[in-house]
Amino acid sequence: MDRDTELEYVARLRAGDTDAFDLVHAEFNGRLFAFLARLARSRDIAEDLLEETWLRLVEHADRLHEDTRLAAWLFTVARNLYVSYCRSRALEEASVPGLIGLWPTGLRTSPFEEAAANELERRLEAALANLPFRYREVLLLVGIEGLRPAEAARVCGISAEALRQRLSRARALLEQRLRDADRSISVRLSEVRS
Amino acid sequence: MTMNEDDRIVGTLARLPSLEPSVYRARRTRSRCHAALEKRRQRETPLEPQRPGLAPFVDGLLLVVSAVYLGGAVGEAVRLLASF
Repeated sequence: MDRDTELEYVARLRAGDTDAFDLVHAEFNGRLFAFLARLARSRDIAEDLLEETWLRLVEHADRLHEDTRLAAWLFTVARNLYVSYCRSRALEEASVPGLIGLWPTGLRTSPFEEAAANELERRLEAALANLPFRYREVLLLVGIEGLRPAEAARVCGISAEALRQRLSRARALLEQRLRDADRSISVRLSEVRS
Repeated sequence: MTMNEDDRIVGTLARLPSLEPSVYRARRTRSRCHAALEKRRQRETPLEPQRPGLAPFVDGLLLVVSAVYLGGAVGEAVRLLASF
């Protein structure tokens, strides 16, 4: 969505235009759900928080600034709702529900590529799900949702420099987790072979 | 800061499959949001002035009846006082 279109949608949302809401919903619903599902590691929680995010947009639509950046606004609300949810339930980091493999994967060109890609995705999802929240959220926002670092920093409520450091640490941690997983697979394979 | 294109891990993250909420929940959310927007629009739209209809005549009639009753009561009170 280019900036002019976004500004037009914001103006129409401020006026209570339901068609503009549908267009914004179509643009961001999947992205917000993916962000929340990987943050919460649960489809059910993600769906509840997603609905609440959209209701917040509607509630605050008439108070949006004319130059609001919708992606940053929506991801901030979604993230804050998840943080509030965790505080109220004291659940964060308590467990990792099995969300891996709950969604269909994209088309692959051959069965081998499909198997290899699925394996990589599965390992990546598992490693991501096991990262602490503060690292997981920056990777999701920058690596998956493609938010600019300045926007991601605003969403997380931290400075650009803090985000840069956190992102760097998150990448290192994710790579470490993937290497650990590789090593564990290699050890298990060698045990099977011997 | 820009994303390092050589960063294999973050690059791979961008290729993870997209996730979609259930169609039922998406529809429910949209209809709840539409209802909230419509409600707000109705609240903000000024009400059309109501047509007068019979209301002023009924009000006038009630006023006349009340005045006649009150006049009678006051007259009766004065007559009672005068008889003492």
